[in-house]
Amino acid sequence: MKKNFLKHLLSFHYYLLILLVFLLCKSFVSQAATVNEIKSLSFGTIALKDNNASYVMNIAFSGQISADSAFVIIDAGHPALWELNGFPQHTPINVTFIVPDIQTKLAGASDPSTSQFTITQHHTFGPIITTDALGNALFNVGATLTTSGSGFYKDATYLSHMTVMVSY
Amino acid sequence: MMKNKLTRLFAVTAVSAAVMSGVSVAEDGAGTASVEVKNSFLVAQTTPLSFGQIVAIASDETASADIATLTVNSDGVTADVIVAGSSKASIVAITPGVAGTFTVSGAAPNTVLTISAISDFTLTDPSTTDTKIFDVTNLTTTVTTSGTPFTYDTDAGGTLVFNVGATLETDSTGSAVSGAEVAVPYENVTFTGSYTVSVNY
Repeated sequence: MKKNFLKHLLSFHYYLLILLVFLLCKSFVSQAATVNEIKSLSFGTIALKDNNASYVMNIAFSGQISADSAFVIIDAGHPALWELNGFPQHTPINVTFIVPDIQTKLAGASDPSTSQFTITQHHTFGPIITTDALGNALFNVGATLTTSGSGFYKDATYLSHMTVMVSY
Repeated sequence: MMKNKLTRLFAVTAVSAAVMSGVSVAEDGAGTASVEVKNSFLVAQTTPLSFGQIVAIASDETASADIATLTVNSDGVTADVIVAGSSKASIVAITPGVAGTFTVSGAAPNTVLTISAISDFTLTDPSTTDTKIFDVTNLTTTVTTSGTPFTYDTDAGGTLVFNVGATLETDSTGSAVSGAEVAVPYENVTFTGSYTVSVNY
């Protein structure tokens, strides 16, 4: 009876040890790897000839810009640049985008009288990115900007947040 | 006994490492996407439209009063003085007029802008010493700077300059009895008026 109890207790300690080693290893891995935005995605500075329909501007991950003729491009935008550091060498990394709200918000004070854009179709050159010999990787992110199709846009900067999630 | 424990410890570590190698590790980073809207740009009058200093005589007749006209061209060509109808109305230029000049700035570079047609307006004497008016008609615009390849393109800095010309007409709203046309000189005052130019993408 006593021998069985000691045996179970010992097994329990081993489970705790396994859990501790697991958590420590995961902690070390998590602290080493970073995902940083080097340059944020910008659709540039634009004017709109009208907002009578939903107009679209796309910035590809490659930097190529295409826009409906209603857009007047004052300063051209650019894709985002992201950097991965501290990942295992030559490892395929899955990249996914989490966008909590596709509708933009004003940078600064809110103004309900102005229209808002939607920013969707966040993408990079592929869902899998492979790290280099140092465990690092760089990748661009493009997306699509769409006008509301009604109302008007006040002169302002409009923002949308995104989270880049990588896993392997 | 000790050896057995060490063996089991190594086994546990090995199992942990094996578990780790199969674990999907995820990391994330926060970022933003943005666009700046700049629909507005500046349209500033740099030179007011002026018909110069003139001697002007209106024709006072209820119907079919003669008018005299003076045109300031938007392309910079010398102004023309034209007297229409018979001889009662007249304009004589003392000093030449100049076209109005407007500068658009802060617009998109190398972009076509549309300058809307400018409505006719009148010049009046603000002091009301003279109640007669001048009509300003046939307003024209000429772009003096341009990018390529279109005439109305802004330049690389988003700037466009254009002139405004127009025709000044003597007052034709006379009160004299029809058939009794008389010449009525304008008072020696400055007549002023305003107009609006509209420029859009």
